Amino acid sequence: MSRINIICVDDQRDVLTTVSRDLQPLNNHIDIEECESADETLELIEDLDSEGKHIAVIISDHVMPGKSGVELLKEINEDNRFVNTKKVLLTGLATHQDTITAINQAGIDRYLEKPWHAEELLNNVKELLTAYIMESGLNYEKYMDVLDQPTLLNHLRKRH
Amino acid sequence: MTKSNIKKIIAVIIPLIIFLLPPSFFPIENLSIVEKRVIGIFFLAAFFWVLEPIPIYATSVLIIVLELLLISDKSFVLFMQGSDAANFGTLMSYREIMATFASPIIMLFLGGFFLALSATKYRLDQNLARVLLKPFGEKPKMVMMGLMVITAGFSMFMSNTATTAMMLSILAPVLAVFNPGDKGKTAFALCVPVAANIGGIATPIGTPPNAIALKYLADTGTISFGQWMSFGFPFVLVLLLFSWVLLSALFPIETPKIKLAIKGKFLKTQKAYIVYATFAVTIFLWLFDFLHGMNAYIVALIPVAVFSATGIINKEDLKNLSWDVLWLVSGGIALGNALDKSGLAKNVVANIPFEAFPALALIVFTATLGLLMANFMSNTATANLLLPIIAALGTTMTSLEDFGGGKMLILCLTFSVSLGMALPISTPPNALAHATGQIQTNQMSKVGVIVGITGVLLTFVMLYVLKMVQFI
Amino acid sequence: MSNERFLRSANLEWLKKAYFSNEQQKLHIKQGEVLMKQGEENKRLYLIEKGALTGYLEDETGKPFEVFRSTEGMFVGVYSFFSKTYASYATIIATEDSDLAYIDTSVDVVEDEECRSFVEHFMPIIVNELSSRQLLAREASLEKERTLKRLLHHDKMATLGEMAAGLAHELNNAVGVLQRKTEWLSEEMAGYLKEKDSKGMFPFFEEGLKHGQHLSSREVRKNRQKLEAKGLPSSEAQKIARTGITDKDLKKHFKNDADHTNRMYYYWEIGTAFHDMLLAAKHAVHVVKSVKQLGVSGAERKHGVRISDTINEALALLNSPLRQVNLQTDIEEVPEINASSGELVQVWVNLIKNAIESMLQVEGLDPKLRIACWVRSYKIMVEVEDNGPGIPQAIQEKIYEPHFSTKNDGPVVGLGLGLAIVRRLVESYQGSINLKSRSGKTIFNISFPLEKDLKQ
Repeated sequence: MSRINIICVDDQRDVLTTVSRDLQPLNNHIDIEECESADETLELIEDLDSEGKHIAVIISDHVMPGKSGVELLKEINEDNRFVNTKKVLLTGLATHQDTITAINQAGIDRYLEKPWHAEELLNNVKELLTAYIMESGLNYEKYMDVLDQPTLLNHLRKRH
Repeated sequence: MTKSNIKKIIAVIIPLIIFLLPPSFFPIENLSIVEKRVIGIFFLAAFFWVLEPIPIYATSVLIIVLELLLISDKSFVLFMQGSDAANFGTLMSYREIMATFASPIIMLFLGGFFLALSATKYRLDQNLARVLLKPFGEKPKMVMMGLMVITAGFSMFMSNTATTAMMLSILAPVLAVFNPGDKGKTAFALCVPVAANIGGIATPIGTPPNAIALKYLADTGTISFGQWMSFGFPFVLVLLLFSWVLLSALFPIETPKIKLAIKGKFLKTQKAYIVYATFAVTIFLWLFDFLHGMNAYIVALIPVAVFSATGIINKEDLKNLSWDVLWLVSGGIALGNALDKSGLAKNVVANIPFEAFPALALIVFTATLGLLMANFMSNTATANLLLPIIAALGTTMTSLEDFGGGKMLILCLTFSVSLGMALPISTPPNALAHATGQIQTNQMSKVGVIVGITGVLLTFVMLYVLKMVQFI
Repeated sequence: MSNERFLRSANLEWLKKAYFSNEQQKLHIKQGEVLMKQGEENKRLYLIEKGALTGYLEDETGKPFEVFRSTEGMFVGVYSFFSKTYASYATIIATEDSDLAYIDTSVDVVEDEECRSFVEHFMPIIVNELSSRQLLAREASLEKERTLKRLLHHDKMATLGEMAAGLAHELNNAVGVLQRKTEWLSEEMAGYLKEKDSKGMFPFFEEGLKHGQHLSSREVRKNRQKLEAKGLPSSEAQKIARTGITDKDLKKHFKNDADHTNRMYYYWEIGTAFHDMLLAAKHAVHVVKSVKQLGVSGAERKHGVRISDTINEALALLNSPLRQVNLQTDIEEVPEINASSGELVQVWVNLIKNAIESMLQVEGLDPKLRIACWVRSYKIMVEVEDNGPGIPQAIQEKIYEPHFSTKNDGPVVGLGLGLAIVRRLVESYQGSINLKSRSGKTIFNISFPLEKDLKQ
């Protein structure tokens, strides 16, 4: 069974480790990867994809050296291999214009502001993870303890 | 090596060994080559369905393909060598094996799916829940009863999973406002899966084991949709009432008042009216088949045609049908056919001295086995595995005649299988409810075991009554 | 200008000769003397032959304010004379010693070739006077508008500054407490863990505390894959990989025991948590300090300010936006000068921020920012260089104008106040600011005279 991955992206290492620390409750079922730049992320998703692993959620900072978070998410959004991959922008420094681009062109699923609350981040990621699993037709029963209930129920209601 | 790899290896190796053993190894006289192969397929199915190295519906497809390859009349040349030998056995027609994908049972379920899908799409389910819950007021115990009645009622026609998903999402905001220490939360979270599991028993389309049972019952004398409901429905009512009393007693509710807010209005579009009408007509036709003569399978295709023609169910919606459930059932039917047509089932039954067993002990054993297995694996897979053997047993054991014969044994097993609900993994509704975080596994087990055993006892009572009125 | 044209066309010379050559009707008035008072009777029209007079009106509080100023060749008393009210509408005082000639109401028309009437003779003067007064009024109102705007802007900036200072003050205590308590807690924790530690795990705490996670995510991933290849379960491999302990140490500590690994990682993780907290607190303290200084705008200049320090403070403040560019700094230690470090930080913040923003406008550019500071021939030089699109020649002068902006973002609280302020501040230090810009290379060069020059 191929593993499901969640990727956190932030160029500040202390912030990055804090984000992934907050997602540790998912660790039993999900692999949590860390990346310090957009380019590293793009390399990693290539690798993961070639190993047949699932990339469920990408949580990215915006302001980074090189490619910005919005550019990264935009690129992923345009890649048809990752149509179901959920995108989160986690930032404290996006301008109005960045935000508009993020929503209209990068198709982000969540916009979270720094500083964030661990619980809020975790809940949002769980919702997106659930949606990813259901939309990708993976066997949800295996991931029951890390799924978001309402999202799961909503998806199941439509199935007969 | 990971756990799943070990499972895969066990599930493959043991059936393989069975395939390779010579017929003389088995303690069955005159075992033909084909019969031996069927034993292999049966064990493969059993191991795969129990250990689940691959999804259970995939096991079903595997069974059908293996049958086509090993015991069909148009299979691989090497496998058909010596088919003229005396002890080769009879090959099955490939058409017959393939036809399991579209057997009447599958059509019955397809009709059920179409009804359920249209109900959800046109919000008939949610709106009915809203209207039907109103009379139950705001007293927690009454609200719980309402929830259980509605859940059970819906799961008679919709899949138990979809019903549970809907009712739990209605319940979620209410669970959130309970006091932290209130045990009533557990009662509410548990009442939904319990009612969904029980409710499925009431109709032939309520849950897949019922439909599979219908197939074997057809061999021993048909039971119509209406007839099934005539005993299934009262059974569900009584068990539901018992569960309600049990839950209220085990988990007393402290919250004085509960208000379920369900949003929405009945749709008043033309298509919605078509859905309402088709729903009513289909159920009417199912219940009153003695008036018009059409059987349940044929009636089931009416909504399929109506909804497809009117665009109520479109191409996208078709993708939301649980094709996996249909395949799962097909595999079971194919397995049953193989056991039956190869003569293996009768052969085995004849070779094991069941006659020596007291009939009553056999009935109790059947129910217990069904209940136990269903607790640890899929109810449908349990039915797929056990029903063909039990059906064969029922028709050959003369001592059973006093208790209702084969019909009785099939019903006994089918009901028991649906009562397996002691663990979160027992049924999808259980898993969903457990995931709400309001129920501990031991609480679920306690309720599941009590309801399960009571249900089995109640089944015995029901069968006794049915025998009394000479129904079976 | 229009005044002159009018007077020329009115044939002033002729008029002067014809009407104002009577020696009896001449007057000398000393500087500060009042020629006429507001509302008093005046039946004379004066021509200023030499000197200057100013007209004042009283406002509602009785305070005088200037309404017009007349110099040589101009007339005063036009309104009272020609409107026939014969009452002066303003108080007119000599701004300097002046010679005046006048006519009064008893004057007779002087005949000219075209036989024009008296009024006709004076019409251009009346019109001119009216128009010049209107001009004056318009200018006054424009000036008032400008002042008001300036005031408002100043007010806004002052408020922003005050707000920043207030915020910084509030945060100062909070951040201070966090820093102090984190230090204390990490020491206490160290002591506690050392005492409790029976399995030799304490070094991992110390390691974490000292270095934090010093491996990049890429290195961690590589390490993890190496460990996984050795047959370690993924989650344990991840933990060991993160700590960055070497293979040699690993052999010493690694017991192929999940509990052991978890405990080790736990100690290390607590250490890194404190490491990160201490670092974050330090950074916060620094930023708060810098903002506090920014807030004190127009603050008093003290001796002992080092320009290099102020640059570093600006860099700390801009930590976040700077992460988007490649920064190169060549900052030498420079002599101390008499300055307000808040003002200087503001200068650098503005220049650096502009540079970053201009570079980020170009897509696909690898943004490079260089900041240098050195001493040369009694001057402290600072250069801010970027490889952005450059500033077009046409607007190179305009960029110093207040409110000039190439972006629509508006001011960022307490920070980007524009190049106008930069220039004003730099010039207030007798410094100079120079711009060299072409596409791909823009350099702002700022120089400050050294202290001894300032004293001269």
